[in-house]
Amino acid sequence: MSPIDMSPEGAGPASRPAPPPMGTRLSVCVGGGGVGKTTTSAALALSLAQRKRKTLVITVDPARRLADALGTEVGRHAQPVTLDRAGGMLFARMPDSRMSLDDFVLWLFEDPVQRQRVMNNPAYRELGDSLAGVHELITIGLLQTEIDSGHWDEVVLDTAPSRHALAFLTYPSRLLGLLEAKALAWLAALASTADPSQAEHKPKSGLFEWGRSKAEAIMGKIVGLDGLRNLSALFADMVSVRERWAGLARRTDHLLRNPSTRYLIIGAPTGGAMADAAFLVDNLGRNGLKPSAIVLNRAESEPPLCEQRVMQAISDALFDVPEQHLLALRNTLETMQNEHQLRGQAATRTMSALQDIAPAGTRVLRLPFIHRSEPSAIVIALADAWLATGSDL
Amino acid sequence: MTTMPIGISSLLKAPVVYVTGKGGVGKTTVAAAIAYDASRHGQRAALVEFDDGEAGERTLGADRSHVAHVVLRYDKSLVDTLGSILGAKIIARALVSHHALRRLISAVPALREFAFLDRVCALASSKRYDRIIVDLPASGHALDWLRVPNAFARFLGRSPLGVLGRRIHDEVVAVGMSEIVVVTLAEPLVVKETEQLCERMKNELGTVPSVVVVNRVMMPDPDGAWEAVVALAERHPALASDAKELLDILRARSDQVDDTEYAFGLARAVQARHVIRLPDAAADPSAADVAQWLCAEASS
Repeated sequence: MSPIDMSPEGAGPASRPAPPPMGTRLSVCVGGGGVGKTTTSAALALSLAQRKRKTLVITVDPARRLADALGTEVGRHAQPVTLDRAGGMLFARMPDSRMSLDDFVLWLFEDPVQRQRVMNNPAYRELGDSLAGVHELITIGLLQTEIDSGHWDEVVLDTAPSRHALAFLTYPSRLLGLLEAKALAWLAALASTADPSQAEHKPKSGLFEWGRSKAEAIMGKIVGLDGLRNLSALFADMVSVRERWAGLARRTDHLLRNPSTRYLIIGAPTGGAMADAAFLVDNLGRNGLKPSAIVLNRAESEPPLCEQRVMQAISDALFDVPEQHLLALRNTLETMQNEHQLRGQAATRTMSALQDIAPAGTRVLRLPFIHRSEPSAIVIALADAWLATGSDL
Repeated sequence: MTTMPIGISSLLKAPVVYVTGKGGVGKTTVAAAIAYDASRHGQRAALVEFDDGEAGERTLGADRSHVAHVVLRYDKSLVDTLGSILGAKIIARALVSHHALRRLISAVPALREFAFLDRVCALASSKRYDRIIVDLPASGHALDWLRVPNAFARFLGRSPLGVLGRRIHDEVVAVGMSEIVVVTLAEPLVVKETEQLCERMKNELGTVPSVVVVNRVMMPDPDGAWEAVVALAERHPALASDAKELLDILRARSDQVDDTEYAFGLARAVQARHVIRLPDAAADPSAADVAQWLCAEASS
């Protein structure tokens, strides 16, 4: 097939949409920054594993602290989580972004010569991390590989902590648009300026030829000749493997729209997180999707009973310790009560605001504020909280 | 005449200030507070956000009138940038409204970041503002952004885009022309990410943050509370399990205080010029409140 074959079927049989293997359910967790999304996703995955579902959590954990807490490692492959609770049913995959980009190129290009050429291209080297949509591509590439493996009952995807994380939802269709549109003919034509061996495939129609030279002139004017050559070479390589991109994009689009795929919006009791949640509900809606649940994390309800009982013991003069220690404890408990109250008010306020924005049929759940600092303790407590919501979550 | 107390904006000398940090640490709030403080000190200040001005809008709230809030939109920025290269906006507009060409242009890597920074550069050279405070995206991305103009200059050499890249770098990114404020939290996960950010900043941009703001810092509990609970557990077996649970909570609280030290240690290690702490506020604070806290901390 010539690299500029523009027929929509040009992608070939490899790219026919394949349904995900029976039984693998995908849960996509989205939310703004700072809501505890990574921890919450890990806890969701743990709760699924505790229900004897073989679960994989795909999460970005640059600090590797969660990895440490779970007794697993950041790496290229799914790693077992050694927490006792997981009972051997939980695995984690924590990709590193540059590593994943190179992995993606390895996957995309089967020809080692071409692969090397791409990796050496200055456009890729300098700007690879910033390539339009590259993070989305990495996400869908990873996700698809894991779903295709057929290893998992459940896959939990922790997306980037951003409002724009949902960009990956539309990426498959945008990519298909790019790959199947006229733009590809322009890219391919430009590519031929970089690689004269492809020039013979160039359509000779007058109008196209005219357009091509115009496009080339304008691009040349913007990025210069060297830039045009490097970019064109990159395009040429990308174009030649477009069947693989297109196949991936189609299958992922299918997966993301599969009715069994669930979207969970994670929020926290702050104005910013609230605005992010509203934005995400809206954004999902525009993609014809609906969140299964909106989850309010760190929602304090009742202050821990132990605090009230100890406070009571103090007022009953139940124990004799130096006055100074007693005073310190009393002050601390009062500070804590004050914090509980403020946090409780914020949680109630946010909860009712979330109920207002939740589409019909979307549950609004709350997960408690965990008064612990070790990540493993928080993940375990939150997993219990997920189980206690009683829903199939 | 009353003397204005020293504010955060006076700790920053460069005309352009980039504010970044991990998602959710309060970047926009700090950015808005710096802009607010600059305007209160008689400077013409602009808060710049990309694509989405919701967070800045919310934080500036009633203080909006003091600060120009500039929300740069990608489509418009791209037309402006291409227009300045091609010599006429009308050509640029025709270019991006052409279906196929638009897609072609969208395939140029990092053009989005480039166009935005080009607009920051245009704002700076317009001389309409004394201070431009830019609310950058979260950590990792922020560096990718600031690297882009120089990367274009290296990769595209003497082409128009390459030349423009050099100019943007020299005018609004280079050391001396801009400063970076990093916002972090006293949480190990966040501090760790901040550490990686500062390391990359040094390696890739050859700079260090001027100011590190440690946000939502918890005050330590008074000494003695721990001992009181331990005594309670020993003397009243009926309350032992409550006491144990309470000790866990107290330990978590003191861990958080230790994390503050960890965050401060980091700020010292990266040689940030100033380290400022902000208290843990229960509700979402306004830009004016935060400016006042920053001000109190900057003077102390």
